[in-house]
Amino acid sequence: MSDLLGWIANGFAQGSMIFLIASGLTLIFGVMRVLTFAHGGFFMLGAYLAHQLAGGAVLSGPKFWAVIVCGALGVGVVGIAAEVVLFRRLYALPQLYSLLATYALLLLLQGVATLIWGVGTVSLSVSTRVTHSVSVAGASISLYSISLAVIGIAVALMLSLLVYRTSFGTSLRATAADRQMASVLGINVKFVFSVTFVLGVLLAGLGGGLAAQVYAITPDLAVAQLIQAFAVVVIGGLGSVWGAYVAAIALSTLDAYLVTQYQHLATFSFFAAMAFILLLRPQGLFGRREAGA
Amino acid sequence: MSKVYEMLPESVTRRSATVRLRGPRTRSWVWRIVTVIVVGYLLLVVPGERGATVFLIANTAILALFALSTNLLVGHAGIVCFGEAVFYGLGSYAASLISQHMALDALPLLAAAAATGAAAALAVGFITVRIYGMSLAMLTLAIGQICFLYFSTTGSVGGENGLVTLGPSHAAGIDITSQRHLYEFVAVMVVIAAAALYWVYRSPFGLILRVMREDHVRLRYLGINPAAVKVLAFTISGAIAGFAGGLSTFANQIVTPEVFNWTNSGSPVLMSALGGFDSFVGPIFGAGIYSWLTDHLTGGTIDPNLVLGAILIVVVLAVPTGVVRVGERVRNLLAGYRRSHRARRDHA
Repeated sequence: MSDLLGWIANGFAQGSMIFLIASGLTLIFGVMRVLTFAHGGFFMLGAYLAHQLAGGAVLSGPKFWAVIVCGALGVGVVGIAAEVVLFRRLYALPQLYSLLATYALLLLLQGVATLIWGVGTVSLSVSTRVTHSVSVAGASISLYSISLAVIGIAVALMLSLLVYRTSFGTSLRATAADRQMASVLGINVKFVFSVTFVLGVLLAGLGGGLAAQVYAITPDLAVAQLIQAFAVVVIGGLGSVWGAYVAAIALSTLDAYLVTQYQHLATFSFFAAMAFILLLRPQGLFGRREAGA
Repeated sequence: MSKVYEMLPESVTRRSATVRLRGPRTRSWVWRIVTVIVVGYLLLVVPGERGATVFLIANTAILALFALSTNLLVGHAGIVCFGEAVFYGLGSYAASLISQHMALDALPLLAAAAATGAAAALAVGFITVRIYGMSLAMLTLAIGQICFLYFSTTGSVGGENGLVTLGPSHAAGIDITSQRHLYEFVAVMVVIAAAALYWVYRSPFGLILRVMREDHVRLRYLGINPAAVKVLAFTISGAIAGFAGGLSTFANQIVTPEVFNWTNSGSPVLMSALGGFDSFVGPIFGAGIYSWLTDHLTGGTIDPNLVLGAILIVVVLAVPTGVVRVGERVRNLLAGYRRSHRARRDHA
């Protein structure tokens, strides 16, 4: 029982970080029809910025959260620049080209990170008050895992409120459904694109900041989490925020279980599940089949 | 309409469908001379160079072959596969494993590598037969990651350290233990395989591939089954990728699970984009640029990824037809500019 609780806690913690990348991916896919490779780069940048802002000090609780938020905002600024310089030009291009451009941007971001911080590992240290463990029903669960789980569910809730309960959300769904028609109806499609992209980047930056304390920060961090986020997005159904959330939590919990019990099977589960779902249900668990696709 | 055909529409080339489908407009003498020079350089000049140069050029040639095989799927058939490294890697491992257990000649080893790549590609093509576009890209990426994890955690294939092999000592009975002879063997094999791919490109089947990229519904109207074309395209591409993988085992004498890393599936697509998806020779140029850049920048202060990323962005935005057609693109732009200039003048 306590083991199970531990797996679930780890699953929620890891899953929330993956979800923060995946939510942006799935939103951007909704409007742009492209899974952007660059998202992993923004995630990595979030981790590096948090490290940079901390300046090597061991952070206390409030400072830590301030650093994370500032790091995410910094990534958001980079995201705005990327949108203005690059992404704006991609919306009209064929999918393969926008896919490649996002891949190029990922390489570019990794290159910049290598240039500034080197290929070695950097880290972010936090006072133990943020990470200490509490005992819940016999299981020892880190307070940080609980924070991550709360952030994950809060982001999922806020995104679904944004998409389904605001006028911007209506514009977003209209744009996702039919770009041209939405534009004819007076929706500023370009604005919707820009906001969605920057929002997604902001979330990835937040995820990166939160991961800075858990993972070793290297330029490769961009890729490790990205591929899992791709899997989650595809399994949940492209464009579905809740699908991504459920898939992220479920797979991460399964992964946390496999890591302790059958270590050689860990992370296989993500890709095996992705292949399996794509073959049986190409639109994903919560996705809607597109007309004629 | 299925989404595949949005992936590479005609805007890529801005040329009429006939020209786009027919392939090279003429058997231009310029290209013939370039081919002769390149092949002559590879076979006659390079073997006399320094060891490191020969090694680099051998690997570039193998990379170019890998990119050509990828472009058959991605550029010509419009099948966006992000798992080409699977076929390449399995070919590498097959050549390595077999040569560890049997002292075989290089040619049967390469045949085994190609057969392994082809078999894997046949399987992948078969199970993904009804999956297109972004989903296919993601599915092939997942298959690549599964291979990566399997090979890096399985002790019997060397685990994370991979396999080290001395490689075959003979090819068709000729000794290839010296670096020079090994290089010559690799170069000849790359040229033969590239010629085979060119033959596919020029054949009616190559034309069918390009028709499928443009419009698979019309292909069906013509009485051709797109599913069969897709599976066959996968198989041919996988065979050549496996062949290239086998050659890389000989040239490097080591194969590690890194070969399955998704960046190794991404880079041949990147090379094809740099050179030009639409042309046959594009990937060769792309591989040359890629290899030259990574060689010159690795170990320096600037990460090669930075430069590659920047170049790729410029290519995608400014010359989507790739460097092979830069001249044509510039001419088009100039003509367009002149036309609008004249129109404005006449208007005034």
